[in-house]
Formats: sequence, C-alpha cells, structure tokens
Amino acid sequence: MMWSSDLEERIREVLAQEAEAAREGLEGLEERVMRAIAQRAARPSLWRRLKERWGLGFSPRWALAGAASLALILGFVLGRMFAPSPLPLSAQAGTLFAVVNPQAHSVAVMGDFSAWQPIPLSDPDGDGIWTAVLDLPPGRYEYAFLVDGKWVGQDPQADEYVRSFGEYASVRYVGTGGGA
Amino acid sequence: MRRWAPVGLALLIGVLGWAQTPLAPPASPEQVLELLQVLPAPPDLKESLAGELIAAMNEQRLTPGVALAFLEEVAELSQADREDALGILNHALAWGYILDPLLNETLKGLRLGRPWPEVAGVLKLRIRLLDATQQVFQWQGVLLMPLGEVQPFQLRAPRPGPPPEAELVLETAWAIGDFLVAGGSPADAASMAREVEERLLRLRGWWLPAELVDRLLAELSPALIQQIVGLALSPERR
Repeated sequence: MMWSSDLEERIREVLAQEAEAAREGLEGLEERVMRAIAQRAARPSLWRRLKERWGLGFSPRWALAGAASLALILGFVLGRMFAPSPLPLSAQAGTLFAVVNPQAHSVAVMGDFSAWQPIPLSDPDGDGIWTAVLDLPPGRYEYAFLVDGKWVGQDPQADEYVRSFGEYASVRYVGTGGGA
Repeated sequence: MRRWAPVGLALLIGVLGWAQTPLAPPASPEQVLELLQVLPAPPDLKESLAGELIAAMNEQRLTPGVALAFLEEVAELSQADREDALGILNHALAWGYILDPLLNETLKGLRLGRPWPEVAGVLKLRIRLLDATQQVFQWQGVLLMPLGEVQPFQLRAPRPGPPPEAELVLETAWAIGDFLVAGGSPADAASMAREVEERLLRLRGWWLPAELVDRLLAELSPALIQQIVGLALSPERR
C-alpha cells in the first residue's frame, strides 16, 4: 500500500518526465507561430474575390461605359416613374402624347403621322396616365385619341384644333418652330 | 468582361428603344403598286394611276404608307364609290399636288365612319381650293411665275421633296378649307385671311421659307381670299 506522500512524489516524477519529453517540440514554438502569421496572405477584397470567382476582369474604359449605361438606364427609369413631363417634347427627343383617364381600358392616338391607324398608349403603372412617345419628323400634324374606341379630338396639349366631318381634331406643330 | 459587352449593349439599346413607341413600319412603293393591281377597277384607270403614283412617290409628294392605307380603305368601298375615289386620286395626282394631306383627310373621314359621298365632298372642295389658290397666287405674282407659264405641272418638284411654293399653296388652301369645312361662311373673308395669316406665321422660317411667307403676307387681304374662294366655289368648277 502506497502513502499519499509517495503518490504525490510519483506524480511529480511522471510530469517531469512528460515535460522533458515535450521540450523538444515546444522549443521555438512562439517563433514558428509568429512566422506563420506573418506569411499568411491578407484576405482579398470583395471585388478581388468576385473577380477571381467570376472572371470579371475588364479595363477602366469598360467600367466607365458600364457606369454610364447604368446611369442612363437609372435616369430613364426614374424619369419615367416620377417626372412625366406635362410639356410636349421636341422632335429630337420624341413627341409625347398623353391622356389622363383612370377609367379607360384602352387608349390610342392616331393622326397624319400614322395614316390614321391607331397607335396604343400605355399605362404600365396603372395611375390613369396613358402615354406614348412618337419619333415624329418636323411638321404639322392633325391627330385625335381613341379612348375605349370613342373619338376624343381635343387634346389640351394641342397647338390648335380643326373641325371636319363633324368632329374636332387636334394639331401639333413639331419641329424647330411652331408650338411644340 | 468582353463577353458581357454585347449583352450590356443589347440591354441598353432595348431600354432606350422602349422609350419611344415605333410608328407603323413604312410601306414600299412596290407594295402600293401591287395593291393597286389587285383592286377591282378599270384597267386604264389603274394604268394611269400607277404611273402617277410612281412619280408622286419619287417626288416625295406622296408617302407610300399613306398611299397604301388609302388604297386599303378604298378597296372596302362599293364599286361606284371605289371608282369615284380612284378618279379623285388620279385628278389630284395629275395636277401635281402634295397628296398626303388629301389622302389623310380621306382616311380621317373613313375612320370616323362617314359615308363616301360626304368624304368625297370634302376632298373635292380641298382640290378646288388648291386649284384656285395656285391660280390666284400666280395671277398676283406671289409665286413669281410668269403668267405665260401658268401650268398646273409647275408644282411638280424639280428636286427631291416638294418645292416650298407647293407647300405655300397647300398650307394656304388648307387653312381656308379648314374654315369652310368646319362650317364657316364663304363670305367671311376677313376671318379666313386671319386663319391663313396665323397658319403661315406658325410655319414661317422653319417649314416655309421666311421670304416666301413674307411675300404672301404682304399681299394677303380679305379681297385676295375672297378671290380664291370665289374661284373655288364658282359653279363651273363644281
């Protein structure tokens, strides 16, 4: 039977032997850890990781072109969403035809520019403002709207009105002179 | 990235294209002549029309798309109305006028569902006003054409596109016609003169040459308009 003092002595000896055996492995441990940390590459940026992952390598020229395209698209979308111009646009920018009628199910414009064939107006956001932008060369144009198939000849945006066959038609002067 | 460039460009073009509603695709002169050939109408009338249509489209007095729409509508008329419509077209073509407004007036009337005799009445009035305006302008020296050369074919374009003199005759006659067709009195020459003046001032300098407009405005008076209307509505012209 072993006394506790003997047991304690025995444990101390075993631990000393273990420490002696591990000394060789612990030597220079701190130095090795620090060297490994120093050699570890810095984490690449998100852009660099995307570039490596998807192969998105391009020149600044393309980046500029892309940014300009995005700005154009964004500007167009925002302009279309928030700033419908109440004024007729110039011929270069297209001529805006607009009808405000929340109850309408279909709206079209027709006139000299379409040989009086209806061109549909659209109301994508359903706010009752129906629009179409037509690329018209300069000139004087008679036109009218068809709202749910009914002739509407007097456009508040028109430069003047004419009346024939018992119905009014609107007139726009599109170009460098005249009204629009 | 280069492989994405076409996609980006296509997207951009698509978005920008969305901004404008395209007009109907333009028709070709060949389509107009093909439709004319299949119209049930006297062959000699169609032959005459074919030659005049080609000339008018070449001189840009007539847009193929408008001519095609006109013939499509005419094809739906009765035999008698169809021949009447083609006869009116032939007359206007032969006299060398700018045709688009006349044909558009026809299309507007038919779009409104008006019977052919009513549409034809308006067209004949427009043509008589064109005739009378041209003659009075020549007599008054507005067009600077010697009287010895007064011929309707002088309005034919010597170059691509109608000459400004033809546009001046058209706009003047059209302003008078708008007044009359809307129910204005043929005796109210002062109102018609004002209508003509307003129309020409709107078009001055960008659509019509300023010097040409100024020359007419210097001569424009109710008496001049009365002369045009009197000539257009004279019984022998009806």
